[in-house]
Amino acid sequence: MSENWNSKLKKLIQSEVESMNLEGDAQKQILEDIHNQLNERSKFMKFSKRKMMVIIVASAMMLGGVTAMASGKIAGWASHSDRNEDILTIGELEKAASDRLEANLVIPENLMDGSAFENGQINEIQGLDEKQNVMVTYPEVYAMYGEEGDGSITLSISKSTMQIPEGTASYDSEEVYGGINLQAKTDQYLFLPLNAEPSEADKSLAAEGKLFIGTGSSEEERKVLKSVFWIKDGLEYKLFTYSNKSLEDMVTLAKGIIDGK
Amino acid sequence: MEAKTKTLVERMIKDDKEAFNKLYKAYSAKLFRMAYFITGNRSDSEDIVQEAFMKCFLHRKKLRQPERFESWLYQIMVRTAWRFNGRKNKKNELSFDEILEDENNIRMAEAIQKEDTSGPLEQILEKENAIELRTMVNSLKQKHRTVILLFYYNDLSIKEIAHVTGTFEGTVKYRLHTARTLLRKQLEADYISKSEKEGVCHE
Repeated sequence: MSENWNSKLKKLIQSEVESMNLEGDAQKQILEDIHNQLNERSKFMKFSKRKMMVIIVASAMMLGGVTAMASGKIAGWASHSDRNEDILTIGELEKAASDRLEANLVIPENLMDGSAFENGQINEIQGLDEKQNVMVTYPEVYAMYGEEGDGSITLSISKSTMQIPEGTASYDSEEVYGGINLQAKTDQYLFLPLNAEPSEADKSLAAEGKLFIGTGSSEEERKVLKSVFWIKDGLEYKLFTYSNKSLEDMVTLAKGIIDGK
Repeated sequence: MEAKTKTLVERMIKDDKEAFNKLYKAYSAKLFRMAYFITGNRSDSEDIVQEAFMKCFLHRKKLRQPERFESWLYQIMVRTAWRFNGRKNKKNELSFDEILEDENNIRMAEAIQKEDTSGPLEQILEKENAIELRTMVNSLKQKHRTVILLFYYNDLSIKEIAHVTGTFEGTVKYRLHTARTLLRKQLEADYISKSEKEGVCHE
């Protein structure tokens, strides 16, 4: 094609593109919608983190906490964030986590399914007795992964003083991978608004350990949590998600983390 | 990129929403035009602009080099538009991909730059108005429309287009060639059809 053809086509295309206008009102409305969505998202993210804390504490109770609970010392759990802001880079999280856990941690930037690191936190978990006295404390590191900010998969790492007790919790699957015991399970969660009461049926399920109930949701939500647990180099790892990933998918992701992939 | 824009980008990265608003005002109209060119739909384009700027703010910390803000924003918009269009029915698109999807055509794409043709095409170009061009552009696949847009409107190099679209340079070259070939075919066909109606004789 000649330069003439090129320049004329370019002129036509530029003229065509420039003829399309974003109306002033629409432009303002879009910006307003963006800010509304960002604000909503911010609330949602805060809410999600609250929910995540409920799950993480529940996970701790299901695992190492079982020992302490059984001994009658721990009646509940509390979680406090080390800082107000999320940690946004993997390098910063690795450094902060290595300092807190006194270990040389390598936290993956991406999981095998392509989910990318989005943000991280370091919380202090407290085990409380019936009088709300702090019986045990330990730091726990969280790395959230996902696509476009959804933070749908969480990896938590802790140097708990409690070890995962063998035979005290039931798992959907268990296997030894590279000399590491991988345990995986699904759990049913019910999240309720602050003032809502669970039904009698849900209370019964909760009493049987078949349902975990959390509050703080704007509406009733039922979720399935898929978790994988393992211990490596004296650290407890938990990988969990609410997403549609299967338990098998989660085990595969856990193996990728163990392999450093 | 102007120093003023770079400063705004740096401020936005540090969570300054006012800087984000200013960047939005500076780039939203252009992004809208680009989205419209790719989708051919005003309402979709407004949604794409909204989604692209949402992602821009949410992922601002991932922009390591503020001076690359524009191409980063184009990248977000193009991929958002593609995903948006992916959800829609593609029945109006032509499927000419397989025709030119080989090495020969990449070479043809390079050779076509040097080709010196003249004839009815240039006359057509002078006669065609923007509405006819839009109809023709709409008949292209979105990836071809995108390459045409980035090449002719944004003046991006093949390398930059490859980066924005997440493809190899060779792929960009053949898509550019495909798009121009299809446009040319349609322009010529349209010209012949018009000329026949007007009684013009082609030798």
